[in-house]
Amino acid sequence: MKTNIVRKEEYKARLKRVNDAIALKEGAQMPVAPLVNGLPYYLYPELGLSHRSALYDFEKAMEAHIRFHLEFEPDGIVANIMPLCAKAADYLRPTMLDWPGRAGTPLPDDSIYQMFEIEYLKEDEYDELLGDYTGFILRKYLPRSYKSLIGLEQFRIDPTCGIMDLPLSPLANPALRKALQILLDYSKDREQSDARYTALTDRLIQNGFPPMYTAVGQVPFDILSDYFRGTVGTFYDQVERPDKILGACEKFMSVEIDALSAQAGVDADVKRVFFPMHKGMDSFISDAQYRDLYWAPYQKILQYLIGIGVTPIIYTEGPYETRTAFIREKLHEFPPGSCMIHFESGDFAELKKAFKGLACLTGGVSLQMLEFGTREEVVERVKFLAENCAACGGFILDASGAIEKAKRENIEAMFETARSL
Amino acid sequence: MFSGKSTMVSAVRKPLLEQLAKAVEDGRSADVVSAIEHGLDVGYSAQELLYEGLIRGMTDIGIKFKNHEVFIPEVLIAARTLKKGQETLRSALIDEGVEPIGKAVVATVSGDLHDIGKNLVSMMLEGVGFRVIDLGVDVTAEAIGEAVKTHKPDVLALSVLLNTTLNQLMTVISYLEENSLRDHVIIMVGGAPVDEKFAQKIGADAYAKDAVSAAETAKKMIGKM
Repeated sequence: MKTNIVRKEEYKARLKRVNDAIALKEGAQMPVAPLVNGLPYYLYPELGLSHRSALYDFEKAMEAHIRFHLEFEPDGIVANIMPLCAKAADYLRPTMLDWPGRAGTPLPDDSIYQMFEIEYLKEDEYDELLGDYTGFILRKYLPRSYKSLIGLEQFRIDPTCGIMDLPLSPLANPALRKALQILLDYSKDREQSDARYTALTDRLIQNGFPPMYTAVGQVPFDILSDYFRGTVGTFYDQVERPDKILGACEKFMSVEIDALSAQAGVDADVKRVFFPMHKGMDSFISDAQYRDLYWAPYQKILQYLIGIGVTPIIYTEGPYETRTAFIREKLHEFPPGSCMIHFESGDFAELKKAFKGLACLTGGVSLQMLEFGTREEVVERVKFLAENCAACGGFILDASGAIEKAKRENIEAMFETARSL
Repeated sequence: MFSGKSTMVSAVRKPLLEQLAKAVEDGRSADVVSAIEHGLDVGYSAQELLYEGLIRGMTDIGIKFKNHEVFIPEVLIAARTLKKGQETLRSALIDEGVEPIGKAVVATVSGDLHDIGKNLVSMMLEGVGFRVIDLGVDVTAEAIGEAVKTHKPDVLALSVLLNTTLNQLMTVISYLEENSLRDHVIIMVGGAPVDEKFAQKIGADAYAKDAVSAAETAKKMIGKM
């Protein structure tokens, strides 16, 4: 069901500004849409929020994000908060991350959650993953990822004797039953969590802010490295078993296309998938492996999404200087204006030249400058970006990453300068 | 530099050391172990096997990394191979009284639980001959100060991954200054949100953009290069 938009004019104007930039058209005003994580908690101390309280009191976190949007008026929904469910995490006991508020955590309340990289897939288990993907996820991946789901190791339904209920008799296993009960409890908390997240999005849309993206995806290689093998395990595999990496990436590619296919039927003004990219940075992977292992399966996802009218947001992280020419070449395979591309660092004047007429460039203001720099530095930087990147369209002003902390005067300078030009 | 134990002429010796270095570079652990065992049997000193074989191999792959001929995965595999070689050599090094080129304390700052960057830096520092004292992750300024006081390292290497923990680098440096520990140690900083400019701004002695350059910089800063 579509949200009832109260501030329609503002919504339309913002949507047009961003869509024009994506379509590489010159607009009257440079769009400003810096993704923010914990920034509103920091900017509105009177709300008494920290990452910890935000995780457990979403309504209050929502209030802070709405306040941020109403005060700064970005050109879209920039609340980059994931619909995490800390209440459920407390009993699921994930091994993959720690978060402020978990019993026994060393993390301070103002810390964001932190991921650990564990080899959930051992180096000799690639064939098992590919041969029985669902079985591996169910009986190995989930029990390794969540301490409370250890009983799923016993989840086998093999109808060797199919009389009456007998194929289901393994469900009587107490450890398995416990895990299934936890999943059932979780499903209720997840439903509530999703509803809260949808409520935030709806309130922002009602207030005239169109979404910046409508789904999140990951590059298959990053899925393998982040959630299955870990960075170090993947480094070893890059040298010792690259063919296995490719096999896994192709599998993740088809799984992801399947998951993202829902976007095709969505009736929405905005259809964009946000792809944060983690392990393809300079020096992590050779040019040849970047081409064959990292990008090739990803290109197929991009191709699929563009084909169904979805705009991928290619959000590179880390130094990416050596990749620019290659990505540029690959994006030439799509119609101009099919993608958005974000860089964390680099010479933005050169990046604009590289992607001019090809893809909408985003980014430009470093997180470091926003937190430690001066107002004058921010003003100068925004002027530089307006002149060198936004002058002919195809640019959206953003920070180098999602903003956690910044000086208020610097955030004000970023918006005010962009709007005054 | 060579110990008196070796009686072979260098022209004969060299190929084995070169083979050892090449085996490190290629990540051939079994060849490294057998070359060391053979080397010790035929009279090479542990010191020359370490410096002219193992560490030479790491130095060579470091050069290739800088020239973009190899990438972190290959360097990591070489470091793993070198570690295997160092374990094989350990007792011989103790017998000969071979000292590391320097001592380094490494840590990920308080509030940050990420260890990959720190571990890579530790491996590379060991790879160029440092003794590394790894304090782990989420280490407070006080604990780092204590380690500096106790171990008296030549180098303190601090890692950070999160933007939110970037300010901890400043906290550590201030703490060392306040406790008169700053001048006794070379402070190197690195990690995703750090750059050269920021390192200078907070008063660090050096910035390293990756693990290979961290090891090279550390060596340079203690005057061993």
